[in-house]
Amino acid sequence: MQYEVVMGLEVHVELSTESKLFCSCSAKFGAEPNENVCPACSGMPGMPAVVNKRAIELAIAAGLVTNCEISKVISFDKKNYFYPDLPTGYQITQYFAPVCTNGWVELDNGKRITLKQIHIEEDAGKLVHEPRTRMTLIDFNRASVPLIEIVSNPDFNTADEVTEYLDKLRLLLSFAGISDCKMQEGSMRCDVNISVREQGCQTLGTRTETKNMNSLKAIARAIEYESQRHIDALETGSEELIQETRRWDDDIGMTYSMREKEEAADYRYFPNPEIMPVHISEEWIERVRTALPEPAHEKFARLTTMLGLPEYDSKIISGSQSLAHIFDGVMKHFSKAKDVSNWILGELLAIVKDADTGDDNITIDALKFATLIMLVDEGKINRSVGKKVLAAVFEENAEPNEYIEKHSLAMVSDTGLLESAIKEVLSENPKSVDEFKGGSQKVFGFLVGQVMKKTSGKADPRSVNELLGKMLEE
Amino acid sequence: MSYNAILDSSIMQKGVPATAGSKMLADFISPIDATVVTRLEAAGVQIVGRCDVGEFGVDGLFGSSVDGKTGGQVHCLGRTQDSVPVPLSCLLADSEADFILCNDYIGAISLAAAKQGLYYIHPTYGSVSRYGLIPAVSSMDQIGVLCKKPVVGFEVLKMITGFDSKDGVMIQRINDKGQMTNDKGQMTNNKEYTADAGTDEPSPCLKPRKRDSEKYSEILPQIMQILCCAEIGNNISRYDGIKFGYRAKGYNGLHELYTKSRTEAFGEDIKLAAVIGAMVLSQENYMRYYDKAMRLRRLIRDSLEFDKYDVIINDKGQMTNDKGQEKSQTEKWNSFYNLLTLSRLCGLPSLATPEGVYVANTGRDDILEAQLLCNMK
Repeated sequence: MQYEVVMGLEVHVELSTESKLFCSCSAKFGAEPNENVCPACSGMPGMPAVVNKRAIELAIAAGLVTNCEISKVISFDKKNYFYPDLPTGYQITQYFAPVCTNGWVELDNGKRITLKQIHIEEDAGKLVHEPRTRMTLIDFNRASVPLIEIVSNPDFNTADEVTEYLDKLRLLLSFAGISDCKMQEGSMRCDVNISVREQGCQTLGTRTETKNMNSLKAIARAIEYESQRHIDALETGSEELIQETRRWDDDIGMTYSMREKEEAADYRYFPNPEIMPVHISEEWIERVRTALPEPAHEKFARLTTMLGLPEYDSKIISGSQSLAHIFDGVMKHFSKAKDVSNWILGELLAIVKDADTGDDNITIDALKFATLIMLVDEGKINRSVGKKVLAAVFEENAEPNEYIEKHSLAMVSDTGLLESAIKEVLSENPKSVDEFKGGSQKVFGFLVGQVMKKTSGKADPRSVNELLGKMLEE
Repeated sequence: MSYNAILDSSIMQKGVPATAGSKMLADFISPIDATVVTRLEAAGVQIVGRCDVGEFGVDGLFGSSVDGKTGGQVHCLGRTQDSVPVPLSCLLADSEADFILCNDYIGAISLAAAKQGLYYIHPTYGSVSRYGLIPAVSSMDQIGVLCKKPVVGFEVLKMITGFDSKDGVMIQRINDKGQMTNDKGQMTNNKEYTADAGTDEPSPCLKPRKRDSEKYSEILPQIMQILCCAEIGNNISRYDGIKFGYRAKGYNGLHELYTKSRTEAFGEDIKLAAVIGAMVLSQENYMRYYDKAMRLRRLIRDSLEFDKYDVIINDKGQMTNDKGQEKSQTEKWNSFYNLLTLSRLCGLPSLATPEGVYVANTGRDDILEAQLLCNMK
């Protein structure tokens, strides 16, 4: 028997706002527990909810980059459930009138994954279970942080499609500055609805929802496991499939039942009377649209076809929001695309790697970076000095010309100065000179190195090579 | 001239207990000042005391306030169980207070006030900030002014009215007189108020057409109960005995902590509201109850014809029933109460006086004021 796996995704993405959805507490990740908490987001009475306009704008932007229709009027609703991580006993979400509907994301093979809707909602707090003291602590920093939930139709058939879609979604959203989409920090979370049916069958099989995967790899493994479990159940009748929510355990590589959906709470949704419906005008949508940066796939096309960069370079640059930003910034002042790309992918990434910040957080003054590349291009400094200067620009925001002057790093191509340096090196290393004259070519490199050292790396390597060769022959 | 005020215990004042008349919040000290408190203080008003007007203001929702059995009794400056309830009029008469600010979202307090010879001004929904008001029924919650002299009441109203970015349902365009305006700063309603305050006949007024009044009297209490219960049930779900508020002593596990704390702390009417609220919002019943009540609410609002009239008046003295006979006292108060409820349901400003009720179009508190002055002459 041939089986077909059918999957739909619910992706939760934290929006990159400064403050929370309904109060002015900071929405940033990584603060001390309960540092970003006020009477409103800890659920005290007397605090009417006031919607963060920026969150609505980012949700509109998410709709635009995923080809959705943007609703003219949106409203917020209350979803009732009782759990200690939810300070008010209800979650504010969009049930009746979501912000975006009917979108799609295209995969590389041309298949379109269609989106049912995108809606805005608030995140819950975080429960920290302490096994040692058998206590549960609550951290409300995350409570009321704005989220969007991107709900797809059941259009997926393989784990590869799911991971490709998530990767595309991550690129689209992070590029547009909608979210940083970090699965490890929980700013992008994914629930997978899976069902299995006989090939050719029109009706869908029993559906299970799988939660708690925090990497693309885990998602692929969970899909593999869960679809095989469904197939085994259908083939052998070993267990009866029921509609339920299951949790993925990455350590043991299995899913286990969380709760049966039939028994799940009745959420008693109703329109939130504290928040007036919000009208989204065409002008507002246009403002959001014009503020959107160039999407990654368009940028890739521009870099390869118009600027002639190799696909490898284009892929890396267009795949990172900050690298793309730096590239475009530098290109405004210095237009040799391949040079700029080499500096970014070579020297800059090496420095960033040493500094150990994530790729997504690279910031550097584009004008200063361009100045430095220009100085190398014009032969004012050599490339290794350039790297040193780049580090100073990156770490201390130094001005290249000032830095070069202050540290006397300008390239030495004065023949007189170089000749005297070479003379000193030759007289200090008579053994090497003899070896060279005896036919050993490899000591030449050693001698060049010694000259560079003597000039503190400032010598023009080409001149050194020429002069040294000449002087050794004399 | 400066005034003295008494605040309902659901209005939060920093560092002072804000109990909303509930054992659940008996030890809850407010972390903030409500916007109305800030505004009163800025206007030089002294806050001289606090009172409870029933647990989360629910008095009157399940029993008719008209027969005088419920409503109109307040507890002064303390917890419900510790003090003896007194009528509103006595509270105002016996203290140095000139007015009481409270949230009369049902209309029972207004009715009691009128019966006791007092005045209650219920402002347009969204014209007075609810930041710092412990919520009961968010779609109707509105801080109003209870006073001995309506002139004082309207003066206080001007102090507390006005946009506040901390409340999401505030009317944004409001001028310094508390009137709603369009983008050009003009009044928005279709017909300008034209009464000459010097004449005996308040011309631009509408007595409700009889069939409206009869139709509404049947369904208003039901709509109110459905909507109020749904919202009260939701708003009190934050009180779980964990973060703040009353926590039962001795419990076994989380669920018993919830159940015991809520069972011990909430009064009977609040429990009833929570149960009915869960019922009318359940998946099974949503369309049958909550959705229907919301639709009726809209239909009633749309039927008020404020494009033709400026004010609806229920003049207690002149009322007759279907047969043209004068209504009994209970019938009169019932009609009176219905109109108060109508104003809550539709977010309209209203004025309850010992002589009758006035309901005006949105944002036209000035009409109520003029109407009142006109009648007093």
